[in-house]
Amino acid sequence: MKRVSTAAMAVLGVGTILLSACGNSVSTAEGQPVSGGTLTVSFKDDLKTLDPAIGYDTDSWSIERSIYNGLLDYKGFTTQLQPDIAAAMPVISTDGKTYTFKIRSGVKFSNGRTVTADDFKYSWERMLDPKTAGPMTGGPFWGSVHGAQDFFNGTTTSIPGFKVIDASTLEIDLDSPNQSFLNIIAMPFGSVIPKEAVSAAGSDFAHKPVGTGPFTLDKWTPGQLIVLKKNPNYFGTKPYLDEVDAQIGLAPEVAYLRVQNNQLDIAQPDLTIPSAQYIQLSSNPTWKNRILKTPNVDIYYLAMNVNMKPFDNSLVRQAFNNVVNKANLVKILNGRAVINNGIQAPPMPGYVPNYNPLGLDANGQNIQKAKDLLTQAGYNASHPFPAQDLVYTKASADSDRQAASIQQDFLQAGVTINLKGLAFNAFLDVTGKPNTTALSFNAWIQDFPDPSDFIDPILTCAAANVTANGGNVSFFCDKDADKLADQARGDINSAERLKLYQQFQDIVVTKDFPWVPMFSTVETNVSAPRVHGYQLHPVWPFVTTSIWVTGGAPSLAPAPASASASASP
Amino acid sequence: MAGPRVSPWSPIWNRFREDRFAVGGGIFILLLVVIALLAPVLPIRNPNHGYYELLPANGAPLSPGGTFLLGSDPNGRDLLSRIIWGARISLFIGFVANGLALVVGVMVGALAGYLRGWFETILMRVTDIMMAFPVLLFSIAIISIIERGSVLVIVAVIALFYWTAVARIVRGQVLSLKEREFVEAGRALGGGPQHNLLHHILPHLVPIIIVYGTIGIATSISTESILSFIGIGVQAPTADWGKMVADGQDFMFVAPWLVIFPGLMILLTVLAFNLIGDGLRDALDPRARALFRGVIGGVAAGSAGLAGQRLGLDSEAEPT
Repeated sequence: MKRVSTAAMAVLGVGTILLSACGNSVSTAEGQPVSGGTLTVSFKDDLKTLDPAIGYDTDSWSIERSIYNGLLDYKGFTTQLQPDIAAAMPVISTDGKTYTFKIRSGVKFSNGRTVTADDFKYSWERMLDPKTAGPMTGGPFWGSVHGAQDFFNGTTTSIPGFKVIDASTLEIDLDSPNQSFLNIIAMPFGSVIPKEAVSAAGSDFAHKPVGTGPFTLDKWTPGQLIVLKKNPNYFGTKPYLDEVDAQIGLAPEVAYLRVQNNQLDIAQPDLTIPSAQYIQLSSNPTWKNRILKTPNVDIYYLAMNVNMKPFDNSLVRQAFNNVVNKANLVKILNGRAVINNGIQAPPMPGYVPNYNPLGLDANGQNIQKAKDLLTQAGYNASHPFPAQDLVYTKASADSDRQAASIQQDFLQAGVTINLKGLAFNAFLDVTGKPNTTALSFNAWIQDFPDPSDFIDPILTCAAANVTANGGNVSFFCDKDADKLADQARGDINSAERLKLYQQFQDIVVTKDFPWVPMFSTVETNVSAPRVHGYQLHPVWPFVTTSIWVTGGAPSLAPAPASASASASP
Repeated sequence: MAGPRVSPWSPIWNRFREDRFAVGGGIFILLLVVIALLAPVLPIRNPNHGYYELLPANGAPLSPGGTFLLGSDPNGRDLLSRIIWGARISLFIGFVANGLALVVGVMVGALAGYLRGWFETILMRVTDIMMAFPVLLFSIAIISIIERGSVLVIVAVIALFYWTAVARIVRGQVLSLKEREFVEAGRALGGGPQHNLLHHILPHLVPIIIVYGTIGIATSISTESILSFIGIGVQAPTADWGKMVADGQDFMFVAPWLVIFPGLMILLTVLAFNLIGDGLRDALDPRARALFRGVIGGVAAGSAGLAGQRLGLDSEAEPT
């Protein structure tokens, strides 16, 4: 359930399906990697947490990924899972319900203690414990682990489905098979942490994290600076960088100016370049070639609350599906997006290219059809369609512009839309509560590269049956579609499984219309010339281990151009 | 002295028109008002419609001089249309908000100054309290509580804060006017407070009302621009200068015209009202007793005599 602040995107995305011409790394010769030095990045807001049981946003994950490891990780910059703290990929029983992991020997926490299977059982139970109040408690991802539901309800104090066989063997029992369970384990929620550090930190593990990762937290001055230092006890290949500094409180406009002045290495590594800065950088010959691009696995859509008037009428929802000029929204993002008429994002397995079952035009609309459907729904000159509030998040100026464009489209169909831009947290509150928001501009970005992630948390009956903080913001619940999702979740035949998800998509898009799917974005970012090896990861918001730097550290003081010139290689 | 009868306003006009800056400001505002009023019939594009199809593929705003005379914003909207329609909002809020502030301010100030006593104490303490509020912070709070983006709420909030300055000045004037012989005479002849205020004192307040009214419009317009700039004033997609500057600042390095044109309009309009206000203050200089007699007392004065007066006054009021 990772919801995205609209148009302020996270660095997630797979492969080269969309942009065969653009790599996700700078292609120019970068020379031999050198060790040492400090990388300086920036974030607009302070991080919420560095507790892997709590963090569920791209800012937190950007830094968490440098501090922690789990059993599995993605291989390089691919979506292929490989063992990380696990010695090998797990042995999975033929019924798909039992996973047996062997733990690599000699993996140490940054405090020097060796990691055992008990640490995983502890970390995961803590992560799912209602007392920890993390987002995974009661959620769909870990709910099929044997005994998890009782643990969520507080009737048991331990999860029998996490079985420690011996110090280096861990067995996980599921009640029903789940084909995306390995991806779930690889999420930062599956990170291993030492019990003694949690007790030592008291209630503040979020600010005193201890893990097994390539870096450790050296300093966190709230609202100002986070300093990571190389972890001498790291079991994997040591990172090139000695230190990663995260400057807090830089607005994107300022941050990108600093990157261009060699005063900052990477601005907001987990978000795409804002539109204004993108136009500027992409029209500058020096910076154009340093822009990294990769498709995001995300979907931006209008959610219509099927339980609220006037959207309880499916004719209205169908009409709305014919209104939005999606090409304009893509243009507002400088073309860094593709029109999407479905519910799955382009690089996701099972994605259907050029999906357009409603027969919309090239812009993704059919205004006449929309008007006809509204008439059919009983709206006419004497009984006009009631003005609707479009709730969206003002996280970026691009979302303001897109909301204005949507407003204009609806005016053409005779529907008045009032724009209600909210701060991201307020937006999550009002859209995640039943019967609160009728129409909202939403986005969903993958947690892991499996189509179930675009269905289970946001389009199932279970996800609609919440009292707050829901991901199913249209509160869509179709029993037939739900059956398909249940069936697909455990289906071992992957081709058949993808077909089931495509059938699910057909029900949503051609029968129930809870969404107006609009577009999927392309992630872009840029780094100062002294940065090498920087790549956009298809799943993780930010990866520090491939990066090395040359030349002096950037100076954050307003240095004259000549003083900062030494930072260029 | 068989010269033609001269309107009591003409000496003021004569003095005003010699102040070239004030006249320039006046012409600018006059043009602005005419264009703003004619906006619905002028052959200009819909200010709120985005011509996305005219934008290049990367969505960059169009620069001035091409399809759009003043360029477009990143939503493909015509900047010229938006500036013209934005003038309507600015002028409307400027005139109405300030008009309200004047009415309230003059009433409170005149009553406090004339009636004195506990009435004055209460009114003037309320005024002091209002003046002690940080205007912007309080406006933000009020607007957030009542209704964001409603023009009427913005008008009310601006009026709420700006009547206090008027009230203070008017009260001071009334205090001194009240002791003057003609008001005493009015009282002696049995005129009640209402009669004296309306017939003897209020006419003497006209110059002050005109001057502060004009300068107050400038203040109201800039306040409205600030409120819209920080996002709690006029809401999208309504064209508003302050909002246009706010929206354009992201693109400052790519499309500087998005900030320059609306910013310039705020600057020029506020400046113009201030210049007019200054010009009027000089023209209506309270020290020019003859002038006041001419205007307020309704005494027709010979042009020759006034010309002499005016020369003398010029050297006093306008050392330039």
